[in-house]
Amino acid sequence: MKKLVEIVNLKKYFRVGKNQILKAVNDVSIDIYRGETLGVVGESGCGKTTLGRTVVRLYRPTAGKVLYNGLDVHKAAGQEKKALYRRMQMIFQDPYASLNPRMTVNEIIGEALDIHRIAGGSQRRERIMELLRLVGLNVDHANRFPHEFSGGQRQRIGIARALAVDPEFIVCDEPISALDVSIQAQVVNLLEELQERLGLTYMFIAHDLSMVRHISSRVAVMYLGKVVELAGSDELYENPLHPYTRALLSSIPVADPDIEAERRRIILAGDVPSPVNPPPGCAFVSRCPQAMKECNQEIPVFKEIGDHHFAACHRLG
Amino acid sequence: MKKLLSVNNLQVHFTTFAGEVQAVRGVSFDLAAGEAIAVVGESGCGKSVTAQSIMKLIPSPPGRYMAGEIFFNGENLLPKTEKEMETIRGKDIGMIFQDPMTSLNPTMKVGHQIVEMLKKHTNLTGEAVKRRAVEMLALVGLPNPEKRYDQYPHQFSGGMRQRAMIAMALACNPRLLIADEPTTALDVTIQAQILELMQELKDKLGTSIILITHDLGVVAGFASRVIVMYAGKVVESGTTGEIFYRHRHPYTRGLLASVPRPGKEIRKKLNPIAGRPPGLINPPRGCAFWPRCDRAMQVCREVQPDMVQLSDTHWVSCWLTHEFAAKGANVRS
Repeated sequence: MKKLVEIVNLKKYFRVGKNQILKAVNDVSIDIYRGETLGVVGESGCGKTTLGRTVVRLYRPTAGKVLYNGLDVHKAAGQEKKALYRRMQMIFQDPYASLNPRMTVNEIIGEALDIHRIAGGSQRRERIMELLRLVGLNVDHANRFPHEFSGGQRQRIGIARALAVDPEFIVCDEPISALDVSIQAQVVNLLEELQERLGLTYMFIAHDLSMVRHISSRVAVMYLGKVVELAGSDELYENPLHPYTRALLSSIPVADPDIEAERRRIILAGDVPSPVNPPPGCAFVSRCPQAMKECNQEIPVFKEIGDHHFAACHRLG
Repeated sequence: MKKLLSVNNLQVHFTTFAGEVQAVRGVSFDLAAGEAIAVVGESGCGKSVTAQSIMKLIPSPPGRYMAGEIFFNGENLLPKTEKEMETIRGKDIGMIFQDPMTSLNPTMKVGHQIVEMLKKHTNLTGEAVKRRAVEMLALVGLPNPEKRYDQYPHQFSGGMRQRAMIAMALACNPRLLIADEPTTALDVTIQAQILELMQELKDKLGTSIILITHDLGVVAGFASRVIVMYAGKVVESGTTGEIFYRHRHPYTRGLLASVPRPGKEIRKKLNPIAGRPPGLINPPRGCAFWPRCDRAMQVCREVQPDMVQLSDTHWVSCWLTHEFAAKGANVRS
């Protein structure tokens, strides 16, 4: 498979006070292949959203780079930059905050068409209708405002807006976590159908681990700004190597009472430490049930342990 | 087992500018002493209003108890005055919420908030009160309980606040704990900690628990019985096994088909329920689920189905269970 996005040693730090640096993304390298869905999971504050935002150039990286089809995303300028924005889009978590309440659906979707001069006049109207139909909305919804829609419908508007410019790559930042269970499934099905029809590549950020397994071909697990494990999604869920991944997977509740009765959970003590001045050595050391002496001193290397199965842990290999 | 709580035909309405919202439209269920049950359903199905009614926390206006009875320990709570309720709330019935900040006072030290409660409801005084408060903080697994006693809620992380709230809710050994989406705002690893804590407390102290949630996974591991609510009504109730493996209501089936199947079938296409729940200002005349139901019949639009008993514990309200309904109407996924 061909690489579409290459994330190379990406770092994004935020200054949060005097001499206080929050290392939201701390040296992450991942490749995303054309046509795949890369799932990114982790607890709140692990940097998954910052990673997604930096990849689509909503943030400037502190160090490292993101290559899109070989082109440096953060160095692109002028026409190159504009062309890049047509290839990469984003769907946001909060369908209430991500749509301008003073714009109609028509204007929200049409704005992208105007900026990139994709369609004008009657073509523009037709394109908007086509997009609405594509995401399962009614064409006479076009003149309404966001507040007239439910959460699931708003997320569909957000998806239509992202699709307006014919992107190849979409970062979906927790697109379903604000929605009800039955509506979540509707939106996930829509994303899957669109991927099949339009050949899209997704980076799917979420904390719902069973939904991530359902939709992703590969999954990256993040902890405190670092990717601790990366593997094909079945491989990762059936054969997790990193102690954090194991604990995380064992804490997902499964909607099956018989399985639940049999399961042994690994309960992690404590909370995620603050990403401001994280501990030296392995980031997970303070909660790791298998920590050794060297975990406190040295940052474990992220390396291939099995076939296309990467992890960063001193206990492994 | 002895009945601790019995809700009969509870109806709660809210007056709004748009009209009268019928949030709870005749809910009935029982809870035995020492039992943990779960109430599931989507936002707006009336599960939180039902829970708040048990504590009589519905603000009036705009809310009104239209009909029904809530027997707790043999006494009907609905006619009780605010003053009488104050002796029950916190003492006999504890409640924890999704957002701990709604029930913790941000301007008061956590320890003092527990002390305040103990002073009101128990005979403990002086040093004994403080000792009990620290004991509670330790019981819910907060490290350094002595230090935490003197801290403010904002100095706690999300999971720790949830623990502090549980400590507060359990300080007076209530016989019933109502947990309204207690883990929804938490990460899975913290969720696992909190659920284990609640399970432990149930086993240790014999507290009955009503868990309100929309996460079917949490239900499967926690509750022995499940009540499924839709549009202000109970549509199906039964043991956890009956609800997960032998459900008969299309809504229950739809809810279960909306989450990815565990194990090998994970990639199977999800089968969501089309559409969304009806508004409760003008709820549908017949079964509230028929507009979204793929097996709706003519009768479903016109007449509300009765609750039908299928086993000692399994009840369902669906026309498909009627003896004259088309064969193969058994809902199984």
